[in-house]
Amino acid sequence: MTFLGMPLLRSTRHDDHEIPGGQGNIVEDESFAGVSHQHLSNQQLRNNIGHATATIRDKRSEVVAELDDWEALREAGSRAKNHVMENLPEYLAEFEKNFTAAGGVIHWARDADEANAIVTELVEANAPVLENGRREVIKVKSMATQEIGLNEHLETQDIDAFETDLAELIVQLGDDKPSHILVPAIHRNRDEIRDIFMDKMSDAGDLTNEPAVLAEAARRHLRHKFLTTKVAISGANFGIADTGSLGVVESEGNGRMCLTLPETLITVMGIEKLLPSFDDLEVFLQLLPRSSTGERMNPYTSFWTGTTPGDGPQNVHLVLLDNGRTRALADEHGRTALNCIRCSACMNVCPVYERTGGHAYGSTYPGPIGAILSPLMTGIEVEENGSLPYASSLCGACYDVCPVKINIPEILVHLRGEDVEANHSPVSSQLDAALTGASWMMSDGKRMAAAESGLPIAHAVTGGEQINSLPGIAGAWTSSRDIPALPEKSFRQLWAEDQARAEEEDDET
Amino acid sequence: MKIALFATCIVDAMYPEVAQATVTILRRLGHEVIFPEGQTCCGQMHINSGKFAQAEPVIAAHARAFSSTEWDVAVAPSASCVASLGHQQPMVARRMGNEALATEAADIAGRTYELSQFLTDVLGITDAGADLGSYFPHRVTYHPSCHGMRLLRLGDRQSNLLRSVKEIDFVELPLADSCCGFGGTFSVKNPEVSSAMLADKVRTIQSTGAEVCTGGDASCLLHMGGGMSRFQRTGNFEGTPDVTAVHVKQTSSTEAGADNADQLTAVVGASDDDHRIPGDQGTQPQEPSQVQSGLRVGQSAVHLARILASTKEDPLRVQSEGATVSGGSLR
Amino acid sequence: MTDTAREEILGRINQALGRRGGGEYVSSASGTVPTGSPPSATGSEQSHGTSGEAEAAGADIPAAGGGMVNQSADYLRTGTHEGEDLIELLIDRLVDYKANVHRVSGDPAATIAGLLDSGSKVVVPRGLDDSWMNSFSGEVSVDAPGQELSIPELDAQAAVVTASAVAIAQTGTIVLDGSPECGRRAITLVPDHHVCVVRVADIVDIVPEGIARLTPTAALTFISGPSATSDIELKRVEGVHGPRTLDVVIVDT
Repeated sequence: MTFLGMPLLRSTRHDDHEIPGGQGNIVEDESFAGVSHQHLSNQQLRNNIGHATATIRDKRSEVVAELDDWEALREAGSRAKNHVMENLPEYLAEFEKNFTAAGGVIHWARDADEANAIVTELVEANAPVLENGRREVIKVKSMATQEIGLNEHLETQDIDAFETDLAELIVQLGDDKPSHILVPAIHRNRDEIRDIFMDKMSDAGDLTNEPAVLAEAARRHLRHKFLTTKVAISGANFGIADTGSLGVVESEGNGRMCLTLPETLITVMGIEKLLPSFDDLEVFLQLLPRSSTGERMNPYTSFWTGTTPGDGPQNVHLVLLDNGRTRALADEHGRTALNCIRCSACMNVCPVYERTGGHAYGSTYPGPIGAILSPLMTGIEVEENGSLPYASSLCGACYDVCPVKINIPEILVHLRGEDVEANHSPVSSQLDAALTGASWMMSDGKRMAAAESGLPIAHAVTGGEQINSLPGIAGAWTSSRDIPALPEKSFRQLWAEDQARAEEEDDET
Repeated sequence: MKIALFATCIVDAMYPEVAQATVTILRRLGHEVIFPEGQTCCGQMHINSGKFAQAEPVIAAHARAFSSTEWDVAVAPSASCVASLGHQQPMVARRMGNEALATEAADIAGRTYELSQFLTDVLGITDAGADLGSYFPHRVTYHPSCHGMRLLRLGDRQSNLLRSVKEIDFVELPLADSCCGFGGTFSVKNPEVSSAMLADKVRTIQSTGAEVCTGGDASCLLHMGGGMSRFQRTGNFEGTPDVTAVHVKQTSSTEAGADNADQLTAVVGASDDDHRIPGDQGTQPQEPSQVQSGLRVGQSAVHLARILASTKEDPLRVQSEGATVSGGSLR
Repeated sequence: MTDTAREEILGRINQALGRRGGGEYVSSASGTVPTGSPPSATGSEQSHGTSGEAEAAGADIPAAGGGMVNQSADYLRTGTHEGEDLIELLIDRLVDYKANVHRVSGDPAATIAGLLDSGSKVVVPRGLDDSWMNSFSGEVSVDAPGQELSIPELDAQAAVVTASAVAIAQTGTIVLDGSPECGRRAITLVPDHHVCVVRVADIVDIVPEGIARLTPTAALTFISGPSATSDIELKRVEGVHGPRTLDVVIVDT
C-alpha cells in the first residue's frame, strides 16, 4: 500500500463527510483487558477452547502441507480480493445484473436496521402465520445475520428463526452467544452440549455425551422443520459477479436443506463477498476448506443462480449489506480486512484467542480478524472497540495462516495509531507518560546515556537484587514476572571505558 | 569487515553482557566492531503502541547515529529490533510525511542483520563449534522469537548454530512456536492474557529439563526469565488466573527430547491417547499439582550470543556452577 | 427505499475508493465489457489516486467481470495423475471421508442393486440410464419435470440413485449439476442413502480442472463424503442432515 505523502493519519481518509459506521453485534462494550479477565478465570472454557484449537491447527497444517502450490494459491486469493475491492462498484453492478436476469431480486441495505426491516417484510409476505400466531423461518449459519442481530429482531416481529447448523443450534438452545465463526459453540464440551439438549429439546429423549448421539438428536429435532418450513434465510460465502451465482460452503446438509426445500430463500450477504468470476472458485474452493475445517473439501458446497425452474426455491432474494463495510473500505491501510473469507484460521492459531475465547471480543467477529474488522467497520472511537487492536502480542501467527494474506499485525498497529489519534485510550495513562518520557530520552543518544548514568545509583538503591514488585502500571508486569537486578553499568558505559583503556594502552606503547 | 553494533535499548540498559558477547564473537572472526554512539532504540515500543509521532524522533536518532559513521554492515543481537528497522521504521516515517527519513531508514535497515542471520547468510558459518570455538556442556532448550520466525524468517538458523555448539545437549522445546506473551506494551495493557501465555511457555520450558532456555531476543528472554523466576519462587503466578491449558505434545525429534518423554507427561498430566492436551479431551480442569510436578529449580534464560561466545577456555557458567541468576536471567 | 440505499452505498464505495464525486457511479453495464485486470494492475495505482487523478481514471476504471483475475497465476491448473493413479487417488480420498466405494467394469446394474435393500423404495432422476436399475427388485420412482415427487414422498424413499457431472480426485469431491441424470437437488438430499455413479471419463485430478468442466449457472452441489459435522469438540462425526450413507460406484466404460 502506498502512502501519498499526506501529513497526518486522519487525512488518509477521504473525509469530506465521514462514511457512517456499522451497527449491531460488532461493538465491544467493555475494554478487552477488562472483559478478558472473567474468561481467563473460566478454566472449563479455556480447556475446551485450548483442546479445540489445538485439534484444528493440526488438521489444517496437515492438509495445507499436501499442496505444493499453497503459497501461490494464497497469493492468487489475495490478488483476486484486492482486485474486487478496487473495482467494487463495477462488480456489484455486474452481479446485480446477472442475479436479476436469472430471476433473483436484490435489495440494498445501508445498515443493520435496514437489512432487518427488509428481511422482516419478505418473511411476512411469504411465511404463513401458524396456529401459535407466529411465523417461522429456518436459517443456515450466517455471520452477516449474526452481525445485524437478525434473529433478535425477528423475535420482536413475531417471527421465530430456527438455527439449523449444529453449533448454532447449541448456541441458540443454550441462550448463548457464538464464540467462533466456524464453530460457534467451540466453548462448549460434549457434556455441556448434552445437558443443553436434554434441557431444551423436547424430543431429545435420553442422550449420552457421544458426539454421534448428539448429532443424531439434532437431526431428529430439525427434520420436520426442514421438510415443512416455507422460508429460509442464509448467508453466502461467495457471490460470483460474472454469473450472478451465490455459494454456501457447509458440512451437515442443513445448508442444502434450507437452500433447496423451502419456497422462498432470503440471503443476506456483505457487499465485499464478491469474486470476479466463477473460475476464481478454483482458488477459493481450495483455500477455504483447508484453512477452515482442515479438510481437503467440506462435505457440501451449493451454488445457485437466481431461480432454477423446477429445482429449489422459486422466490429468491438477496440483501446486499453495507453496515460499515464501506467505512472499512475507506481506510486504505485497513481495507484488506474486507478480503476475509471467514475461514477462522487466524483465531485457531491466535495465542490470545486461545486463552480468552471469542466472547471477550464483544463482536460477531472474534480473534485477530475481529480485532481489526470490528473497529474498521464501526470506527475506532465507538465504545470500547479501540481496545481491540491492543488484544494482540503481534506474534504474527494469524498473518502466516491467512488464506488471503491479510496482514493483520500491520493493521493492528495501524489501528493503534488511529486509536491514539482519536485520543481514546484512557486506560494506561501512566504507560502513556512513560512512553512520552522514553520518546524524549530515545530521541537523542546523549539523553539516553545520561539516563543510563543513573544505573550505578539505581543498582545500589536496589541492592543489586532482582525486582519482584513494582507500583503503578509497572505492577502489571510484576504481577507475574520478576525483573533481573539492574546492571551496574550500561553497555554504552562499558564500551566507553573499554575504548578509553585501549587508547591508554596505545599511548603507553 | 567494519561492523556497526546496534546493541538495542534493552541490551544496552539491561543486558550489557549480551552486547559484549556479540562483540566477542565478531572480533573472534576477525572483524572490526564499532559502536555508533548516538544510538538508542529502534522505536518499536512506540510504534506498537500506536504512538507514531513519538516514534519519529526515535527513528531519526537511529538514522542519525548510523549515518554519521562509515561501516559495512550493522549487526544486532535481536530479531525483533532488526525487523522493526525494515518493517516499521520506513512505514512510520512515511506516514509522518518524512520521506527523507523513510529512505534513510530503509537504507540502514537494508544493511542491518540479526546476529544469526549475519553469521549464517553473510559469513556462511554453519558449525559454531568449529568456526567460533563455541562450547557449552549443558542441557539447553530454545525459544524462537515470533519476529525472528515470522518477520525475519530466520527458520533454523539460530537452532542450527546452537546445535553445532560443542558438548551442548540441545532439547527441542514443545510448542516452541507459541508466543511467550511479551508483545511489548501488550504485557502491560493486557497483563492477564500475557501472563497466561507466559505460564504455558514456562511450563513447556520446565518440561524439557533444560538448565537454560535460550533465544535471540533479550526482550522475550527477560519475559520468560521473569516468569520462570516467579514460578520457581512461588510455585504459581500469583495474581493471575491459574493456567492449565498447556497443550504439550511430544514434538522433540532429538534423543534428549525423547529421553525426556516421561517428564513431559508429568507436566501435562496427559492421559488421552492422542497426547494432544491434558485431561480427558479438554473436559476436566487439570489439577495444579500435576502441573507443578515438572518444576525444576535453577532454570534460567540466556541470550544465544552468550552461548556462542562461550569457549572451553572461557566458558559461560550456569547456576549449578555458581553463576548468579537474577530475575530468571543468567548473569 | 432500496433504490436510495443502492445509490447511497455505491456512492460510499466511490468515496471510500477516492473516486471523484462521492455520489457518482459509473455503470459497467453501459461501459465496455471488462476483461479483468492482469495481476500487475491489482496493485494500488488505479484507485488510490488523488481526486485529480481519479477524474482521469474515471473514464477507464478497469471495468469488472468477464474473466478471472488470476489467469496468469502460478498455482497448478492441471494435475499430474492419470489413468489408474487418478482412479486410485479418487478412491483413497473418498474412503478417507467415509464414502463407500465400489468399482465395476461395464454394467453397474448388479452392483447398484446389491447396495439397495431389495423391495425398498428408490427414487431416480428421469435421465438416469434405464439399464442401471435393471437388477433392482424394489419400487423405483422417476422424478421428472411436471412429475416431481412431493417432499413427503421423497422422505419415504430409502435411497436415491444418480449419475454425476464430474469427480475431483484430489479432494474426493463429486459434483451434481441438475442435469437429467443428476436430477434436481431435493432428490439427492432428502433420502438417507445416495448411490452415485461416477464414470471414469468424468474424473479429473485437481479442483481447477473440475471447475473448468462445470456450467456455472446450473444449480450445483459439491459432495465430499456423507453429511458430517465437527461442531462438537472439533471431532468429525458422519451423518447429520444430508444422506448418511454415500455409495460411490466407479464405472469403467
